[in-house]
Amino acid sequence: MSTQVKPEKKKPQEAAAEVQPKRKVGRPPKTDKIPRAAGPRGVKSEAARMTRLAAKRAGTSTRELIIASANEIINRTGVVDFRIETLAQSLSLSPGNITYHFPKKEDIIAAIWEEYVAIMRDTTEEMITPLLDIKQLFLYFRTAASKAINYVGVTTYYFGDMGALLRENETFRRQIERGRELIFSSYDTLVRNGYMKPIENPEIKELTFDSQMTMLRWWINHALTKYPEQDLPVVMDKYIALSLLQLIPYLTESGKRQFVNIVNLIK
Amino acid sequence: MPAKTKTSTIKKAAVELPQEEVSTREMILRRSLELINAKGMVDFRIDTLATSLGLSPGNITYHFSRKEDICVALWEQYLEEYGKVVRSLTTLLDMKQLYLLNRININLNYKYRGVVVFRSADLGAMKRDQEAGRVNEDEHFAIARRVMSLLKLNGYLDKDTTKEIIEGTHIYHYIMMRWCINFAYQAYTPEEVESKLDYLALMSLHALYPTLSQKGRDEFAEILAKVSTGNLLGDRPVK
Repeated sequence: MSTQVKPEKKKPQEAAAEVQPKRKVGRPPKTDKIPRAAGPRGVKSEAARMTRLAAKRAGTSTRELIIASANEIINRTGVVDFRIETLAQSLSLSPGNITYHFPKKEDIIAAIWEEYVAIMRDTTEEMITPLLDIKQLFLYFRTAASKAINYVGVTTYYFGDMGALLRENETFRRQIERGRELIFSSYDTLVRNGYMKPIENPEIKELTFDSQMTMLRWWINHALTKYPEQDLPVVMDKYIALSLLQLIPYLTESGKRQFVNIVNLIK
Repeated sequence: MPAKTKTSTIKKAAVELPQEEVSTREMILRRSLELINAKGMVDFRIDTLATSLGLSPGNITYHFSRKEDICVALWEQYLEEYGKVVRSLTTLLDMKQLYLLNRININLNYKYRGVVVFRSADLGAMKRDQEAGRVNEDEHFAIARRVMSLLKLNGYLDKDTTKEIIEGTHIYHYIMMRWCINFAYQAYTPEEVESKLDYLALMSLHALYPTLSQKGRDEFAEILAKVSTGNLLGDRPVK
């Protein structure tokens, strides 16, 4: 957390105004209170109405719409500052409409997480084919990374809050198990295709996997301490290339050539 | 290497209270760390904390007006302890010493795990403080770089390694140090994690592997053998 969460210095008037009604303890003050200027509740803004109409026509349910726009908001604010009221406002729904589908904001967050997990499971594994080379491996990692960016608010939370880590421990262990199988088999394929020498020592092989996995999962957290969120797609390639660094000791000449090629291209 | 050397002087003064009796502030911090380690930052509530200490929430908010302030205070404590580790970086650096430094750091990360894993977990918090995050980061990088240059000086880096790869490797080393504890909570059961700390230190050291010279790899192999056979018990009292 360090200085990251340090409350901003209050301006004198603000501080004075905040003295009496002690807020419910343990929660950050809602500095992002939405102005109620948009007329009384229930009066729908034209834009929001159109979005919902379009969604209806496309066959998107209210539930899906809630998940999609909650994800959008969380990608900007993070899970801690995310409020059902803000979400309701942005969809021109009443908070009751939302809580009908999701009683607590945690339920929305969990639904977004499940969507992310399903997407990762469905779309990426087919990319590891017998034709695998270093460039394809890079592309595979890259596809996974860009999917994670679409869910950045929720994934950083699930990868970084002890409560979430403990609750989802089983899911995570299954994911890592699957990741290990996938990566180990791609090492084998790369060996077969002449891009890599086998990693003889099983312990070093495991360490190599652990390192690649850690980089591929937490690069976003690291990137966000340095770059604004909208730069993630730009810096992504650098981190993905970093994850390949662990393979250098085992690359053959043609493997090295491809690696250098990638590095030169993303520079 | 996550060298969180930056500590605010004000906080430091507050930490150095008279030692004989545990101050309320200290008591709050200790219990908070226990709670955050068990449940995470997001579910941590000041009222739960107050109840578990038999205090009123007002007692707590007198010292820390928001739960985020408690988190910051704990982070500062962590930085303080970490600073001591980093100071033992000398020109004598070899793989074993680096492993031991990593090991101390991993143990520290584990002690403060609830706070450490969360440090970059919330977008809002990160956004609010990106500037400080960047400064912090630059400092860590300076130290990770120093590690690389000391290793090079002492013949542990492969001569053919390019500058670019060295640059990438020190970022890798840093990321492994910072996030391998998160990895552990995903790869192992929560009960297992404590027994994996030596391995996690090895994992962070392994980030350097692609750049190591033969001498470096030999020392790494030696450490690996000791860690994987659980033969690293020098710190247990001899009976």
